[in-house]
Amino acid sequence: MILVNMDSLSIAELRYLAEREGIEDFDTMDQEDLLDELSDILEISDGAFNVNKDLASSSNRRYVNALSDFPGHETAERLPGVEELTDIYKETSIHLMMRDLNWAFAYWSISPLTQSKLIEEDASYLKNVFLRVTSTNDKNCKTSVYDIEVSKDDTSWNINLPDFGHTYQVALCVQNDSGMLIALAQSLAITVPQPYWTTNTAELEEDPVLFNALFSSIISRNGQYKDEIVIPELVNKLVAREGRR
Amino acid sequence: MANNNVNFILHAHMPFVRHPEYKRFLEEDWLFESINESYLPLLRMFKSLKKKNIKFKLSMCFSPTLISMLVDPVLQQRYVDYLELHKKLGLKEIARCTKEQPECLDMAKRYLNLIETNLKEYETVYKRNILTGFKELHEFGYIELLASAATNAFLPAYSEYPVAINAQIIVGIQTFIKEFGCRPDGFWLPELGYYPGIEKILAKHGISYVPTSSQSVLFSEDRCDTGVYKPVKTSNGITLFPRDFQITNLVWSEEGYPASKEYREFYRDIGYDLDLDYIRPYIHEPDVRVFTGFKYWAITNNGPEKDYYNREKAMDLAKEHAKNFIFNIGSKGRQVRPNLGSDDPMFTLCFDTELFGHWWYEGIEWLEQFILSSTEELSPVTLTTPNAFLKDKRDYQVIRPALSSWSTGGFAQIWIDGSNNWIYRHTHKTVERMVELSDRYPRQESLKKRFLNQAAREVLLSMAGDWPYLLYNQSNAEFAKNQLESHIENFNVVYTNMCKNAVNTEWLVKAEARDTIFPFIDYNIFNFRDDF
Repeated sequence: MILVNMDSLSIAELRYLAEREGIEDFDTMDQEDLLDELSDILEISDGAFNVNKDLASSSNRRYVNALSDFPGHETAERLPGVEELTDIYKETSIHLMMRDLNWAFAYWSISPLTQSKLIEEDASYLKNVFLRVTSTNDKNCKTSVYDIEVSKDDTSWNINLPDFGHTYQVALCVQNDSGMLIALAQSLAITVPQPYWTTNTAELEEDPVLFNALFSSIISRNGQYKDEIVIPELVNKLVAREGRR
Repeated sequence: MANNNVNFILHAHMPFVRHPEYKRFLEEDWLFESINESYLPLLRMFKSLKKKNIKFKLSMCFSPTLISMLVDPVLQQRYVDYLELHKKLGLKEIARCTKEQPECLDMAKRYLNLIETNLKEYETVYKRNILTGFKELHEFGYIELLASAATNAFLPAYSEYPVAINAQIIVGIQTFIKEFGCRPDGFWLPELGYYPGIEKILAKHGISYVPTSSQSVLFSEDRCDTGVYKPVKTSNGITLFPRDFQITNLVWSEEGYPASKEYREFYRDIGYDLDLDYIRPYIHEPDVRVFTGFKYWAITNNGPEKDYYNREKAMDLAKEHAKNFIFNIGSKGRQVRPNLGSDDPMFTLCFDTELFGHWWYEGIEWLEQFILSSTEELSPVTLTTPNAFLKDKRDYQVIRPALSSWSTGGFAQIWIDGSNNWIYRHTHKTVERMVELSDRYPRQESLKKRFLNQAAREVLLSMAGDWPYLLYNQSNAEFAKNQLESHIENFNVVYTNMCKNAVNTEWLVKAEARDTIFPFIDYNIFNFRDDF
């Protein structure tokens, strides 16, 4: 994927962009002014360009490839009989997707029918909508539960997964003023694995050659980890062990 | 000389963009640029090595969407039109450069020559189907071909729907067999997106190996001392070839080889630089400036003041970088060897094909030099392919690989992000509805069958990983949103009509004409029940 590095663009290109963006006096402005104006405009637009100058300069993005970022594009015509996409579906359900070893994404909906039934029964139910996250330790099967308060208008949430080696499941719940709880829907379970090296760090400490051989494969040429979850934890554990020595 | 095996894999992919209802459609240029600057020049380079009897081995994967576009007569004709148009521009550029900008004349001639050569080979050698060239290299044992998921869907995002994963894999394999005439052994998981359990579906379709990211092995629940330098296996026998990010990173990084100042600047293109009146016939209407491929400047620095591109200097550097790459592999091999017992290390290195030639102009020459140097007698590198490597030994350690991908962060962070996570509510629902339709209306014939088959196409197209990626990157984001919504909305036409037991024939005829992908599709794949 190609993002345009604004600093590399010629004055002609910048003026062309400025004209497209409706900047007055674009043809008399110098490069610096054009960059400033375009940055102001495009950073808050829906992003046909990446104009974060710092990002563009520092990352340069020459290594990323494939699709040129076209400044204007055509929108294909709708075919006959096609209706606009609805925002939400008339069903009661919740889905949980694993994003990484620390976070999952949940989205849900409560159908109008379910909502009207709840209101009919006790309108206070919809005042207290929450997500009940159940975490089960895969080794000893111990379970813990925590709730995330959401509003009845929320439809998605990022769920923290605090522990490796646990299985998580999320239920969409409501509770009325008398404390009566109803689970409207439950997600499928997702399991966060326990990477071997996070519980066997001592073995790495005793064998730096192994540590190097394994983890150098995800370290960039300028020494950055291509991982923000497991390696930092490993490094912290190794540093802590070193400190205890 | 110690030996280091290198499993070099090129992945070629383009999202399915085909709009015959327009005279020219902007995003179709993605395909034409890639054929012109990457696929045909690569093919030429490979064939020239073959002709010189250079024994090389590498792997390639063409995504099914790209395959479908490469064999599509409408897009084939449009590529020829693209070449004809750019040929005119080349001739005009030679005249202009001779008069006004002699420093650029050699490059203008080079670009024109590229266009003319491509046009000639496209028409006469490949009869407009360049896949035949790659197929021939595959048959001669130079290139191992891998299949991939139907629409480059990021499969971990659909792990809740094995039936959709199954459909992506089946249609991907069917496309492969149709074009290459044989069954694939290897399967490219889009974005190297692996999740525990997918191996069961892969095995059912006869897949024996997949490349994966480093994290799949390093963050496994099992100890694996060989890291990414030996293949590993899943419990059901699928072999994983984990890639080495660090070596790949010598090319594919912010400071990688392609960012060197002597190389050609991608961004500076006459499509943006020259007067509108001059360039108007070669860009898009109404006056939408685009890349033309005519670029005369070296990267030089991050500023706008650029030096003229010096081809000779750039070629010398490409050779140097190829040698440096081999040196680094040798050096890394020495570092990891103590953990591998008596085995030589295996370096799996994966790249997007379009990096070479299109984006990194000198990338093809770099690759050629890398191949040539690796085939020299004392080279520390041996090029191999997964099948060639597995021929001798297949008893690798069995592990439980971790959820992983090759993108930033190593998991699914890019694909399930605040910018794009809204899409899954719709794409998941579309999958559920497709399953419902195939359950309610199995084995239909005639018009209803066509209607349901078109629905299946739209479901697969809506699952394409390109849309969330573009949304995440804020690059062509509006286009991605429109494409995604259009596929889901099209699917919904079938769903709502079939719920009334009706067929919208006007829609069907137009949708079939636009989204021609996977003509062989059978919607009953969504009715496939098995113990995944």
